[in-house]
Amino acid sequence: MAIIATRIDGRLVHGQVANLWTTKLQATRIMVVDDKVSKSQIEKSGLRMATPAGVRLSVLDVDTAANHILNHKYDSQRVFIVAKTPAPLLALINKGVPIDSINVGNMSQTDETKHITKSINVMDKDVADFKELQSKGIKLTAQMVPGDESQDFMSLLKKGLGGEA
Amino acid sequence: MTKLILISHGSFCVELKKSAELIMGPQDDILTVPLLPNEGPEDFQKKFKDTIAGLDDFTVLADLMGGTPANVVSRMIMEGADIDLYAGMNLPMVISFINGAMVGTTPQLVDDGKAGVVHINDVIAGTTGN
Repeated sequence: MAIIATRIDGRLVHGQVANLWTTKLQATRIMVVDDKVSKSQIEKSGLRMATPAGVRLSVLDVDTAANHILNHKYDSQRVFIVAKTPAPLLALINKGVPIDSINVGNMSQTDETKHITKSINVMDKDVADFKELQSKGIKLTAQMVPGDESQDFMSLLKKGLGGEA
Repeated sequence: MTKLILISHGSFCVELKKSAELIMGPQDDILTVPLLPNEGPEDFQKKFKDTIAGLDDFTVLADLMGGTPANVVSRMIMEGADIDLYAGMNLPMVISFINGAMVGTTPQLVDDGKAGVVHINDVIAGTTGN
């Protein structure tokens, strides 16, 4: 079984991820893949506290996450991968991790971002990463909650960038 | 589809539903009956009965044990109405209900509601250091 879903969410583990998607997907492990967060005890404690009881949490850098997955460490589990941006997911895929679709949830606004939807804002680097993911045949969708319609993310991105993409 | 009816003093129930929707998306199976400042128990009972008219499967969460909204429905139960009523409602209980409906399990509303009431400093003290 291993990877059952992959989501981009700038807030990582929060209300929607912890209470909604984890339940909906019946995930047994949330795997946060982030090189910086994996080195911060405080951020890791915060994520652990937000993780629902009975669900395991891994907070790993890209290399460790890829090694664990490729070494079949989670084959008997239902792993839900969460990352803040497309970059760590692209890195996992380049290392051979079998991810075939990515749901783009929340990406927060900064001075360097462009607004795509109510909850999705992207930097130029993200746009490039999304295009590369698309070229690798990864299915990119945008669905905030299970009740929402699953939309084609690349169409939203193109529209949001005014045809630049 | 089981409905959830939230009842409260003032608009707590209306806003609690909105807060749940912010996390969980639109919730058409959650109904609300607020007791407004100018309303008495009779007004509230009428609004509540209008809300449940035609429903055969629903659960009621009230804001406060001993308060008018809970008392009105308690009275209906004592008079023979077949209603599941809980008091002390909170967001974890509402989320528990939504998740139970989503995955098809019976929600443990009291356990889940209580599990969401914690002194976070104790949780932090318990998790740091290991």
